[in-house]
Amino acid sequence: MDIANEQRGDWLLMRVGGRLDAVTAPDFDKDFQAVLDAENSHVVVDLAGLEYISSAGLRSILAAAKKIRTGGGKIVFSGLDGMVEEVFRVSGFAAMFTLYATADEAVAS
Amino acid sequence: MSILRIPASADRFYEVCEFVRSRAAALGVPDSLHMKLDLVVEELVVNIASYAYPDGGGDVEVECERGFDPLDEGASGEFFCVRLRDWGLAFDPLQGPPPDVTAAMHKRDVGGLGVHLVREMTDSCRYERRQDMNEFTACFQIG
Repeated sequence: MDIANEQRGDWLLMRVGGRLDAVTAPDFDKDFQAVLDAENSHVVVDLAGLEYISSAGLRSILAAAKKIRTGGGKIVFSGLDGMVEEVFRVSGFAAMFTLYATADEAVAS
Repeated sequence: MSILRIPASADRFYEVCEFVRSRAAALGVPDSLHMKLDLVVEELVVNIASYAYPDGGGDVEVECERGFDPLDEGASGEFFCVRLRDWGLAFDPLQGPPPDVTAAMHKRDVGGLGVHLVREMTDSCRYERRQDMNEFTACFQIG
């Protein structure tokens, strides 16, 4: 898994690529905590480069979303495709979160 | 080699995924099934490591076959099935209540989605306890 962060106006854009699974999810948790520690309150998580996600990855995403909402912030997702989109759909995450087709659309929102 | 047996630990599911992919390729299963296979294998191996062997120290055995669905004799079409065995505590993943996937975020627990994904991604699955062994079979329709 690889993560690249970029500031886009009011949004912190976090691009997550590769595989988010039981082995890599702790790395995502750590990187997301660093984003929160840097006092970012509006986060776009772009999953266009993510090819695989398991329940361990969903758990990290839900935990991240709960943390940011507890602090009054906002989190949205973009670029879902293929199996990642399917996993979001069957787990109810697609209905629970705000999704955008692309990161550009998300930061323009 | 048609059976893989390795220590069941959550960080070794890649080895099981790799084995299942190689068996799928050998049995002529389309590549389009790879991601689903990886997902189901990860969830099942992580569950075995967590619940069948909470203190560690046991093996998981993996075997794959292609044929008609052994879980549903009435089903037509061909299936690829992955069978996992362990010798840990009796653990039936299919017994738990299904998660409420329509609940609002603040009401949702973090976790508990693994078995739900296994059910969603397979065409049929079955758990059996045979003496001191757990056996889980997950089948995917391929034609």
